[in-house]
Amino acid sequence: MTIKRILFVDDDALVLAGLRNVLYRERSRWEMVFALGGEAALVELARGSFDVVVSDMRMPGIDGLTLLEHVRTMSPTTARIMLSGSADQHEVDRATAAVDILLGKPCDARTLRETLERFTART
Amino acid sequence: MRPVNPPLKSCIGRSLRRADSEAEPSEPSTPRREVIFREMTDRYQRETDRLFGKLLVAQWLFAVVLALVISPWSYTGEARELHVHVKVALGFGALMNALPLTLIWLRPGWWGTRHAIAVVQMMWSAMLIMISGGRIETHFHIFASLAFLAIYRDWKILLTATLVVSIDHLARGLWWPESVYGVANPEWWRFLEHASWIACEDAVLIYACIRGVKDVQRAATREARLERTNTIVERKVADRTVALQLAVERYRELVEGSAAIPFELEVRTLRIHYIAPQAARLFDCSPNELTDNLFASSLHPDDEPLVRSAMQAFARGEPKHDLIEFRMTTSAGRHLHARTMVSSCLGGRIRGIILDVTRQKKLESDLQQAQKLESVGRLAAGVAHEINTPVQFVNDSVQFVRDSMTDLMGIVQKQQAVVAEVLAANPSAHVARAASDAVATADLPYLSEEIPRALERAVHGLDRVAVIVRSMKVFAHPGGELAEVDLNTAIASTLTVARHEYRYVADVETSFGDVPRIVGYAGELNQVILNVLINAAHAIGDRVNGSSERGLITVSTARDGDAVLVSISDTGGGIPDHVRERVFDPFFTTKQVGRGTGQGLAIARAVIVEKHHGTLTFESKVGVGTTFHIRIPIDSRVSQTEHAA
Repeated sequence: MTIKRILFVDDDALVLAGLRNVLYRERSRWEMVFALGGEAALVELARGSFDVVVSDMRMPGIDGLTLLEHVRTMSPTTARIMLSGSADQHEVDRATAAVDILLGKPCDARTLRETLERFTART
Repeated sequence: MRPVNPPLKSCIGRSLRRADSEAEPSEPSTPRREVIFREMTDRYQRETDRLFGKLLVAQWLFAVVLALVISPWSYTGEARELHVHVKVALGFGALMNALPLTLIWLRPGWWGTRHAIAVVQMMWSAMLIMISGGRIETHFHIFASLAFLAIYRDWKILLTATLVVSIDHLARGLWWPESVYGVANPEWWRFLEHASWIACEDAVLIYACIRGVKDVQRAATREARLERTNTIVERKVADRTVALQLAVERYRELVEGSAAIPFELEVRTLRIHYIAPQAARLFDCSPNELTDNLFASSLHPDDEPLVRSAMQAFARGEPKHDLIEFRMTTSAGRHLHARTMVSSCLGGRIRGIILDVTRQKKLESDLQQAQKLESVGRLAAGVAHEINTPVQFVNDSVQFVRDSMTDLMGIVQKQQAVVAEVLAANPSAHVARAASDAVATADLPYLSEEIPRALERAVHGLDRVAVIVRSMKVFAHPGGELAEVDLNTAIASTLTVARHEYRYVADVETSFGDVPRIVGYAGELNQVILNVLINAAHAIGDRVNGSSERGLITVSTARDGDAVLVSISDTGGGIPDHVRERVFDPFFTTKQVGRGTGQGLAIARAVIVEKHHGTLTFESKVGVGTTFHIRIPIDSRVSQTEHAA
């Protein structure tokens, strides 16, 4: 079994830390990279390829939607997951079209883990 | 833009002007003037006829008396008899008078009558002259008679009279001059002298007659003009009366047909001096039941002092107290909001109008509610996002700690075993002793039991936060598409979902009517039904708490015109009066902290009223239970269009 690479993007370090914590047990099967914001994510994406990208929607600078659009262009096989706490229906509609799945914040660890399992198994 | 209804004053002004133009002034018609002239002349000549009637009789009596005095007897030898003059005066006088008197009696005012009178009058002159033996002084009777006849103002009879006199003078002058001139052989010019005197008088009298007729004609013209003026005035008066009645009627319609009810009250006692009859509708009574204490007795007791003090302040001359709002309860028990606008105060009596503003109040409160919901919605969108992010990482962190704790406790237990082994081998091994003491101080068994529980509570708490935020999102984003919704199915599935909420406290009875599908937002309608059901379950739960009793939730659907009515009843404790008005307020709850978010019914109302253009109402009796009625138009898009139209 190859180790899958997953990139987590959020402008909030606490969210990233929480995700790192909650998925700590999966470190043996998933190589997880945490990027603070869209720009950092682009740096990581340039450095290596990922099987799954999980991004927040609203971020200063490059927002989640732009980032995932970029991912789709650069690496069509990469699964794109949006993890958003937004309640704006308009934003949600746009996101739904651009991503493979939209997860609402707060998303509990089990749902997140199961979703990631589904998408890592696919690739 | 031109006002639809012109002001009353200008209306009246216009209708009056119209009346004026209808009563166009016109000259008195010529026929009317002549009719009056003829009437006046006729009346006058009849009177004159009667006058002559009396005169003729008087002359006859005078002639008889005169004859008796001057030459009563004639003698033929010894025998004496009444003189021929007496006989003539008596018999011939009566004979002469017969025709004119008959005519005066039968045909008064006829031209023939007065000509007959003229003829006979002149014959009387002739006879008197004859009886007096041709005395020249008796000839004055002719002049007097002519003057008398001139009273008729008809110069033609003067000619008739002159003709009679002339014939008489001429005939008798020829054959019996003594009886005319008093001498047997008068001078040849004697007749001419008499005739010229007569002619002179005739000329004067004819002139007088013509003048008299002209006077009468002028009088007739004046009379006709007066008549016409009177007619015009009368018509004007009639027109004005009608206009006035119309104006009064219009005022009455305005005043009594208006929703604003004029009144006059005694400031001190609030007794009604006057109130327009349409007040009956306000007070739920008939117009003759409008008693003088109705106002005071209908006032809401809490508002009475306010009304009194405001009216008294206005009466003292504080005009800002002219607008007073208060609540009322009618004799029929109807609650309403009223507003008075007082306009004047005179002698302790206050005048103004009273308006039923219940509907307006309701609309205002609805609008306020809608605005509140809107602002909550805007707030919710922002707040939801702000809360969700920390919830995400707090949740993650707590879960991580919880998971890690299992590992950690495993390690601690293993190390405990090591410490125990070391101490058993070497009780003086002080590092192991210290470790053992630390475990005892920290009360490891307690920690190992309580830390997972504490974390469990934290996770539970976070779940609850997530629920609240999710419910707030309903305000923020409507979501979903309009679709046909089978309410019976929707209710059935919601009952299944909400089963855990009510199964321990209540049974559910359903009565599904044959209702059409409605067009609406299925997800949100489910949410509404769920919220109401949860409230019902909580209400029952509060009531049966700790006992073995069970409550009942009844859910029914029925068609109601162009809408479907869903009724959800519970046998809970009912909604106390003092909270009824706040039931639909967002974040208002009577539930214990943690049990309700205070949004269930606010959301329900937003969904039903704003999105489906339906109504959400309830009836509740403390100690008996509450029924919520959800009325949803079959096609809210139709009713929305109607609202807009």
